Amino acid sequence: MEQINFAILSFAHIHAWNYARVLKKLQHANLVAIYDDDFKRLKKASSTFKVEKAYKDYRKLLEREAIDAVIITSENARHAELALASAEAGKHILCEKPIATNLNDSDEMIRTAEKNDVKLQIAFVMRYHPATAEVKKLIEEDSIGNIISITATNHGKYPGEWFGDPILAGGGAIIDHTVHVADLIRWYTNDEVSQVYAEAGENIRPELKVEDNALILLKMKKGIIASIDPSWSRPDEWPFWGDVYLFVVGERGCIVVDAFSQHIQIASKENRKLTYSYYGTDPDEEMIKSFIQVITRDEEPLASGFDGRQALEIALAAYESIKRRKPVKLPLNL
Amino acid sequence: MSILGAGYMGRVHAESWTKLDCAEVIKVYSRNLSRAKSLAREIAAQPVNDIKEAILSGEVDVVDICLPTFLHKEVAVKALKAEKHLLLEKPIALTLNEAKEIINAAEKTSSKFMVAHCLRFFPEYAKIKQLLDSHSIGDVRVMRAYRIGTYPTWGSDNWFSNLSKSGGVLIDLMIHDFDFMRWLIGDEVERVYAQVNEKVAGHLRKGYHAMAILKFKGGAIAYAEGSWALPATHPFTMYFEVAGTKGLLTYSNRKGLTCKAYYEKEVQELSPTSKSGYDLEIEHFARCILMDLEPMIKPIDAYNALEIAIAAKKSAETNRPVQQPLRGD
Repeated sequence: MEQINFAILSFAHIHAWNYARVLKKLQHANLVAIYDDDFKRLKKASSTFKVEKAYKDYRKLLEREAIDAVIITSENARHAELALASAEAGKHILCEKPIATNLNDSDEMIRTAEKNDVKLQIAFVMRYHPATAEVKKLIEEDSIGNIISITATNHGKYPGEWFGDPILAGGGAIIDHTVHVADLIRWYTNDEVSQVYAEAGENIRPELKVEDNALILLKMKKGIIASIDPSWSRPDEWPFWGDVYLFVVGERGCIVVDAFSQHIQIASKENRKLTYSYYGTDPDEEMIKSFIQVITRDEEPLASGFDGRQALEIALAAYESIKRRKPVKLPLNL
Repeated sequence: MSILGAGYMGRVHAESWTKLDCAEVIKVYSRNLSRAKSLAREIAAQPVNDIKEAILSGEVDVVDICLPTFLHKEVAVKALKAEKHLLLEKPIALTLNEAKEIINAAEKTSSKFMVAHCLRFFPEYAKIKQLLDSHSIGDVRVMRAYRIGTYPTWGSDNWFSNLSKSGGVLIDLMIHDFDFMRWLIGDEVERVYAQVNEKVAGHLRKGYHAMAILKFKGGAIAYAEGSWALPATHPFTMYFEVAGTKGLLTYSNRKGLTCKAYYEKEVQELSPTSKSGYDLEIEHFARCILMDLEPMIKPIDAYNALEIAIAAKKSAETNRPVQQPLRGD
């Protein structure tokens, strides 16, 4: 199998650090160059991953470096700028979720990738997690009959930094945490969302400029009901980062998933609190392996730019519903 | 006292009443005499098939109604008019007008009246309330409740399946969490949006699976989910979580199991406490009667919990958020 040369564009998103670690580890991947607009972060990433080709200008990186693919892990609002330049430079793209902060950007990203014949994959990592991937298999095998309802939570802690910036992040907990499970709901049901209703409460952290909690109810076109809790409702003191919980009710059974429950409980004098240490599969690694295969075998990504766009639309509809105080029909007419 | 209704809940209440020294169950009423006989035999009471005898007998001071919801109003009003103390199983009634009639009858007597929103007495839920009241997690922002399991097959004539008699999970089951949430944060609901399953299959009917979002006046939001749609293998599951400005608490009945027994063909999972929530509930009501105290669940609490459930049902029917308070039925 051929080697794929990668660049990581920005380490603003925390996931970039693990993606880089995975790239260093994988046999068929080379992390050739990195870019970051924050010099301190660039230096840190460059020394952590021993990547000498570290750029403060992504255009120069794209011009000069013989890379095949980029991973875009900038602030959400900058995904489009980086993706458009990468696509036009002929680089395949693995883009962090959410695909963008508005539908125009996402549509332009999809069009530009198609025009330049490069892959655009969205980092819907839960499609590669063994537990949530197993659910897809069980549903396809008709093990619980037709789906009636899906409940999902993607709770988390407040990620900090630019995630609290309404412009750079495009919102708060809703845009950050709705999309993963919204994508799973679309994937499991092979269906699209027809309606979104959402409420946001008073903030848990009143100092934040973005919402840190919300509750969302969905209706699917074929009559399935669903709910999503994307709240950053886990305090800093909580022993784990959060959860991905799914409860799929079918006509002949139900499936319950607590995707990150494979952990060891540990308390020590050193960290002075109880923590959960995860021993399950790293889905990031499975996702990047799959992306490499998509490139080498010229396949379609499991989670495409279109999937990214559809999940974003659900999150944006939740904001719209909160504003209008009523259910919002999809497709969105903004 | 008399227990009216010899089904699942009548039996649970009877067990708790018989533990009290101050109370004696002398009559068990059921529309089905053989059911009355079977429970009456166990607790050495008299089985009766005549509702008047069960309520009006001079020997009876207290009436405990564990009949299906659609029968509540008529029987409850009769008991209150006869100046009997009344413990009434939740929901208070199926409609707000019926609830009002019961409450009006209660106001005209000096006898004690309480609707059995048992969750408030369950040790785990009482603990959550205590933790909240001690400000352990600050001001409440997001609550989350599940009450999910298999369809209750124990109802006489399968009355739960008739949604005009039981109201489905929104009215019959999720009302537990609606009441608990109101009590927990001491706030009223401003609006409700809810969805019920649209798909039906086999024994599964519309309204057996539901999800609701409540928005409280003070700015908190809550998610509640109830189900009768799960296979019989799925254990009855209760979950409650509260995120506040200073912390988070979570509870799952699946994690509080202190005793599990594995037999060749079945598993028994228990979480025993020296007194069950039902014991504590019935003890409380007995104490209120003996010491002339006001029961902790006021008639208006039962009314408001029903109002949230009915608003949720209306929302599911109309696909609109429904504002509280509701105007009539």
